[in-house]
Amino acid sequence: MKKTIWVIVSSVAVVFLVYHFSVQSQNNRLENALAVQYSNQLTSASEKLTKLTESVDQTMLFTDKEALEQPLDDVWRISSDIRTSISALPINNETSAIWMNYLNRLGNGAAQVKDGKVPIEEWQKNMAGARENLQELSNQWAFTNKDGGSKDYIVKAFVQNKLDQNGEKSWKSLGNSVKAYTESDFPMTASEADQQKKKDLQHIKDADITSAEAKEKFFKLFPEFKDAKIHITESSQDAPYPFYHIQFHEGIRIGYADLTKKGGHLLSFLMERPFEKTTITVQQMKDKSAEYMKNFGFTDTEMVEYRENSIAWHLSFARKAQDNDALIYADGIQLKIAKDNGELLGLNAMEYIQKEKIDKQKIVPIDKAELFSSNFSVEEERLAYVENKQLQQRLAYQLIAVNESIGTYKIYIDTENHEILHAEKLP
Amino acid sequence: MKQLKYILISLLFCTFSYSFISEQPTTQAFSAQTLERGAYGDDVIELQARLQYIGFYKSDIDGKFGYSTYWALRNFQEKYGLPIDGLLGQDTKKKLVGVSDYDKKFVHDQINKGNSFTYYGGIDLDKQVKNKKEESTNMQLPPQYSEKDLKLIANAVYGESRGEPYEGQVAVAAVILNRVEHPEFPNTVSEVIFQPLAFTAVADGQIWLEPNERAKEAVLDALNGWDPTENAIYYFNPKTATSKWIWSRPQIKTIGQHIFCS
Repeated sequence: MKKTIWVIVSSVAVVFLVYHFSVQSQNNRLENALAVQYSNQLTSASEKLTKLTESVDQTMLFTDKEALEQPLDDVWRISSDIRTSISALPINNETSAIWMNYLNRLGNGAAQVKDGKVPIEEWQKNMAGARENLQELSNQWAFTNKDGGSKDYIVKAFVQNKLDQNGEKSWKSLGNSVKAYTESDFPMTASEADQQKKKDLQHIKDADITSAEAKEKFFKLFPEFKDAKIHITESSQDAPYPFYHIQFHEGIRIGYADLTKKGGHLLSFLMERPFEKTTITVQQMKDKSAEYMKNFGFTDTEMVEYRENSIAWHLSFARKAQDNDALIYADGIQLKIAKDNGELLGLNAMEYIQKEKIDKQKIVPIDKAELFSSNFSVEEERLAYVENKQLQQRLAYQLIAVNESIGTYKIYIDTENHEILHAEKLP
Repeated sequence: MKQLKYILISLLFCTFSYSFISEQPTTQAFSAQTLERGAYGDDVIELQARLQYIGFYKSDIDGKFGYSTYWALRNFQEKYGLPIDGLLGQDTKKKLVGVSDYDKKFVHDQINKGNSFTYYGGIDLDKQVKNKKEESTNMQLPPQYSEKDLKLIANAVYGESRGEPYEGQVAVAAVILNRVEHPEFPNTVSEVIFQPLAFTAVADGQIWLEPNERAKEAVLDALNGWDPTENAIYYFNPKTATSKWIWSRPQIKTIGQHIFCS
């Protein structure tokens, strides 16, 4: 009898333990899924708030109705997107209502200006103060949700604001809502049509090179790795364009270089190694970069910007058009140069290999005073080729426009029809 | 006795001079480097703080020499009759040090604590410190990307590929960016990363792990244009992949444990 009781108790204990661990594991999975959904909404709302602030700023740039159309449309659309994100978040109703009200007013205001119901001057006058409030709100949002990426924070927030209020303790109902959310909002779609977004490298006309020739080319381009251990593989049969993938290892240096099979053009090169704490001067870095570009034969380019970071500089170059010195950003090259000794750590020439076809285009002078608000000054001007919405390369005025409180903008205006092709805020 | 008196007076004078000099603002703090737009570091922090002290610079003191710093410096040079080139050379440094003050400890303390603060002259420093601001990285990014993008992608890269070679980590970051550009995927970094079933690290919670510097550096390279995958939008580990569908994708190359596909 005693033995039977012992067996029953043990069995019950085992069943209980198995059940306990199973439920715990399931809860853990649900917590993760829940945290993912809310983190997405939190970060998405935060990103969109930044974009909304930028769009509001852009509505301050122009007086021209056509130029204003896109930024006003952005304000309306993004404010609506943020409302959707916020409505799905576990924040209390009062806060939520205040946010909704604010964003609603902003979006409607932009729509009214766009429809001609409110004069643009009035909007710009109101927004001069409102943009600062929006910036402040954006900062507050980011600060309030600084733990937004933490699973514990999200789960706790959800439990405090929703579960306790409803008196619902089971994770099962949560699981159902998360599942429904997942299936309705994010159906996983397979990309059947492979879009060639970048350069169409499959159309290179040069003759194929062999693996041995690729190795030879690598040593010619990077003689400092003549003693390195090399491993070469060819791209898979389905790759959109064939290339050789060369992995190398020499002492503390390890990296790769990709060369096209047709013609052996250098697609990209990247290397990793430990770094010293010393730093060469900016002039030395510039001299080194000029030397590298010359050695690789990229002599028709101009450095357009560089950014210093903790271990390296990242540099961007663009090809220059022969007839008018306009920058062709689509034919870009990037370099990565070590801060400790100026060594070349990376080179990316994927976009440069297949050069853009540039057509002749009229240059009609623009009246900048008419285009820009009076509180913006145009500080720099040059020509550049950028893509329009139809993905055609268009010659554009590249203008740097500045307002002390709003910031610095780079704006591209088509030289022929004066369409605003692109505007970006510079850091 | 008279000689001893002279020695004592000289000593006192030396001591007084030394104490006077040592109490002066840190005029020699700038390094010998000429700074320009794109620079980053302590010299830029000092430049921004000094320009703000005399009212020329109104943005955050973050050590990143962007356009706000550039225009502020040019305005300073114009006002003081210096060549207007936006470069912080020796003459500009000398003039700037002469007309401004710099409390290095205060400024660096606020930055290290992550405080939102200003450094205007004539205002009590305690009144210029506000609450903590959003955590900022020490990296300068291309204008089209935000620090949030970098942090989020670094989380994904670390969660997905921390055991992979550096090239493989850059590759994972590049796939995320390729998806953002791809018409069949969402348009923001966060939506791409949190798209259900898209990344294992999201499903198993490893995305919440704190990424290391190597993962962040890999993301920085991808944001700057490197794409070792040659335009891939999918990748998988053939040893652990359970989906048959993923094997149907056109493969491009293998890096470490991952096969990258279009």
